[in-house]
Amino acid sequence: MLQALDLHKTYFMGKEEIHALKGITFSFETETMSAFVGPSGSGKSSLLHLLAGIDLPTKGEVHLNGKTLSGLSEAERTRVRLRQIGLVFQRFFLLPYLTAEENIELPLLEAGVKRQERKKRTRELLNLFELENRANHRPWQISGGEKQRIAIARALANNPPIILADEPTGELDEANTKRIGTILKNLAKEGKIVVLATHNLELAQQANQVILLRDGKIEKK
Amino acid sequence: MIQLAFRSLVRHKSRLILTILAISSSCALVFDMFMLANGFQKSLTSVLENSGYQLRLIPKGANPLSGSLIQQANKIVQTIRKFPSVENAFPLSLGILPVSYQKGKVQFIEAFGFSGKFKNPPFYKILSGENLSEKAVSEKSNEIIISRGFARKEKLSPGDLVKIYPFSRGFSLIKKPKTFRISAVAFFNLEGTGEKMAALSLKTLETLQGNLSRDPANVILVKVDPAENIKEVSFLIKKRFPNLRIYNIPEFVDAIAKPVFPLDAVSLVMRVVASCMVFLFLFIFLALTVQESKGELAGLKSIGFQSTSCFLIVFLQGLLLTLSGTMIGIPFGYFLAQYLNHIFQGFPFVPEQLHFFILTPSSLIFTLITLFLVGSAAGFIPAFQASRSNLLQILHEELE
Repeated sequence: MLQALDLHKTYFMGKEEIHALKGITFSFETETMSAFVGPSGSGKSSLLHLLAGIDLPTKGEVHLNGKTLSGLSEAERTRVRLRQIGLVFQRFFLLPYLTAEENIELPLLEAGVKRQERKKRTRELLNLFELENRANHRPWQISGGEKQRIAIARALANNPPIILADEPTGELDEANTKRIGTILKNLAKEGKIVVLATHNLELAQQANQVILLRDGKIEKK
Repeated sequence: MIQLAFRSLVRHKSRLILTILAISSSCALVFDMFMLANGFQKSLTSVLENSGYQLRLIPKGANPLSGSLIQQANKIVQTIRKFPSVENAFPLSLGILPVSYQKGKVQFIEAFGFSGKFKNPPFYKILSGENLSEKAVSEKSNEIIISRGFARKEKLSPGDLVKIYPFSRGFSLIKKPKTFRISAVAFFNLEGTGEKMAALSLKTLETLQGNLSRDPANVILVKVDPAENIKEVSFLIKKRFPNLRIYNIPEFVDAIAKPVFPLDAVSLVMRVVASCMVFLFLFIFLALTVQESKGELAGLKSIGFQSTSCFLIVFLQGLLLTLSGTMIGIPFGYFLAQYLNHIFQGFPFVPEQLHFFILTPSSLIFTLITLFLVGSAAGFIPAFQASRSNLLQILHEELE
């Protein structure tokens, strides 16, 4: 369903070439949580950006449901992210002027879902992530763990089959890290493809498969 | 989307309030300048139209305000009155006369001299006393009508006597004044606050002014039958009297208002300045918002918000700000215009009946269109920047 085929990514810093990825090939299966681990600069985030269609590979392809992401326009890739990929970041990227409920509602709003349905789906997600009592709180009024749960709930709003998480527990304590790990694992069990990039070995250990990236290459599965 | 734009807008309340206040002040100025653009001319047109006399005749080649004389004015008037489409016509002159009263010192007043047959001359309305008799209008007489402002200021009333010093040739004053009786106090259509005006027979005025030319007048006013075509009557008069320049009311207003009060030009300059201010206030606010919201925009794009949606969120903020500024600015501008009107009308020699700021549907519509265009233009660039922001770059910056 989601495949990385010989992915290369080269950045240019002036005249200097930085090879972030050097031929990554990998198939991501449903009901599987895959964790990419590795030191800073190993290419974890770059890989996730390519899988999400945020960035385009210098060489190689990302296949999603038979389509090549690099063959799509920016608007089409954005539409793919809206419907098929849920993204979670270390910094949450919640809108500070919206409540938790409204933040979760955002992808549904962009997808053109009717108000009544939006409210229903948002309520379901708030219940699922035990955030009912935080529904009307703004991001700055709640803890880091809760913020990340809201971010995951938002990523799930349109019920995408793929969840990509870039350092989802980077700013969380141990208890919250464990909780987020359980949530992501449960999502995989429910049939989603979950891919995460992390430094955190404790979180990685909850994944079905752990892939070590080093210097832009898969070193070990 | 509009709700999202609104929520984003109201998060920095103090900044928002200050920006709206600044925008609404500029909006008020834009509105006032649209009201000013043609206000004076419309007001003058309305006063002249109310007189019922649609045509004004002056010597060809002369400026309407130069005071050039039409020779044999009464003879021309008699001919024009015979035109089947003409209801009435009369000659009018304007002069400056030295006057003294109640042992007071000599002062100068503006005097209208007229002749003709009508119940009420179209340029004043009697407030107290009696109008000049038909004989007093057609011949030399010692009766005058004075303006309300004159009467109030000098505590004069009908029946009082004033002395007028006639001019001799060469503008030297004759020592022996003539005594005139005030027959009425009237409100003159173009009377300024406290302005001293008088009306008397044309013959009397010309004699007092030492005018030796025969049967002169500055202007001839013609009242056309409302059922008739003014242009056709104008054409007929022009054909009969080729040495006269014939003005209908809009032409006359253009000829006298534009050179004296170039308010449309002033209004245009001020409108441009005020619109630039609205643009700058909006642009700075939105550019700052976009700069501060890079992370949020990245978040939105990463979860599937299209560039057009990001554009709309910022663009709508610009329109909402413009709308708020307009909603406050329009009433504020209206009251400001009333106040400025009051100040302007208090200036010497500015007729009370004339208004400088006139609220018309077109002034309101043009204000709204201008502000909408300015708001759209100011919002466009920051909105475009928001839509074109590089998600990947922002993600890297946010993580650093």
